Amino acid sequence: MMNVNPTRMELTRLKRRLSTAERGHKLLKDKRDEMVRRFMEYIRKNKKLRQEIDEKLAAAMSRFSTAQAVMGESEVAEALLCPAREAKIKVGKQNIMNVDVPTIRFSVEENKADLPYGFAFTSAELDQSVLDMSDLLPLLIELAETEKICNMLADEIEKTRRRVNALEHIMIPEMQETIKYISMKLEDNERGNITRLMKVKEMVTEDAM
Amino acid sequence: MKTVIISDNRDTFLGMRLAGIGGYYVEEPGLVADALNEAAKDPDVGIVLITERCAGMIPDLIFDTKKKKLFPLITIIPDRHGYKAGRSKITSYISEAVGL
Repeated sequence: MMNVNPTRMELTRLKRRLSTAERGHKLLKDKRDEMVRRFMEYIRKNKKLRQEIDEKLAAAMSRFSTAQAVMGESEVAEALLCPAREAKIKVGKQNIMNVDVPTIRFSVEENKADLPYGFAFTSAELDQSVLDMSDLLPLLIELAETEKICNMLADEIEKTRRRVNALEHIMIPEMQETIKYISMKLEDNERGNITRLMKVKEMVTEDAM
Repeated sequence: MKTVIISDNRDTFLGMRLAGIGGYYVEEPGLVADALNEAAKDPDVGIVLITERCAGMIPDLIFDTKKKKLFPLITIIPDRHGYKAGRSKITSYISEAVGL
């Protein structure tokens, strides 16, 4: 219970605070529920992406190993000496339930099919694995984005959850109890007053008789 | 912005090179940490891909960097044998947040 003077003014003030707290609690609860819903969506997406990447990366890697075996490691390294092209990304911002999360888009500029080496001394497996990897890149970037969003949402959900709990289990009961205490105190005073009045009236009538 | 890879695996490193992702080829935990710090400091780096084994060497540093800064995004990728630990880290993080 709060430490307050049991006065009428305090009572009105507290009642107002209580209604605000209750409204805030309801709003925060809605926010939390919606965030969890969105969060679940992203988690599901994340899981799917991971599985997809897992499979595709394994396939691309094994193809790459074949290429290396066919061509010899040094030849592969030589072919890839000049970095193909830079994997450029564009970064933006998105607002999910008042959380600023980054959005990342893969900026595709170059032709997908361009390979950074001549065809004379390289094998078809190498070409294929280069293309595989280029296909994989957007997925990887999407995974990075989803994961970040998940982390940020999780943080925010936790904060909101704490607030909701604090309101629900501490602030609101405390205020309700204080309001009850004050009104009881006020009623008690009222009864005391009435008794006193009745007593005085009795004395006065007795005097008059 | 660009993407970099931190890998302890030559195949993964070269594979990413194929896709146009440059990066660090490191094998020791100390060097992994250095590479990550360096990448985190560079404002032009948007995404850091890190292999699972590398990430396993410095879990705390990764977690800190993830929590503290908006960029770069750190993503753990499997090597060619697939994910080992599954999604334990992120799963635990989720359950902590949602309270499931």
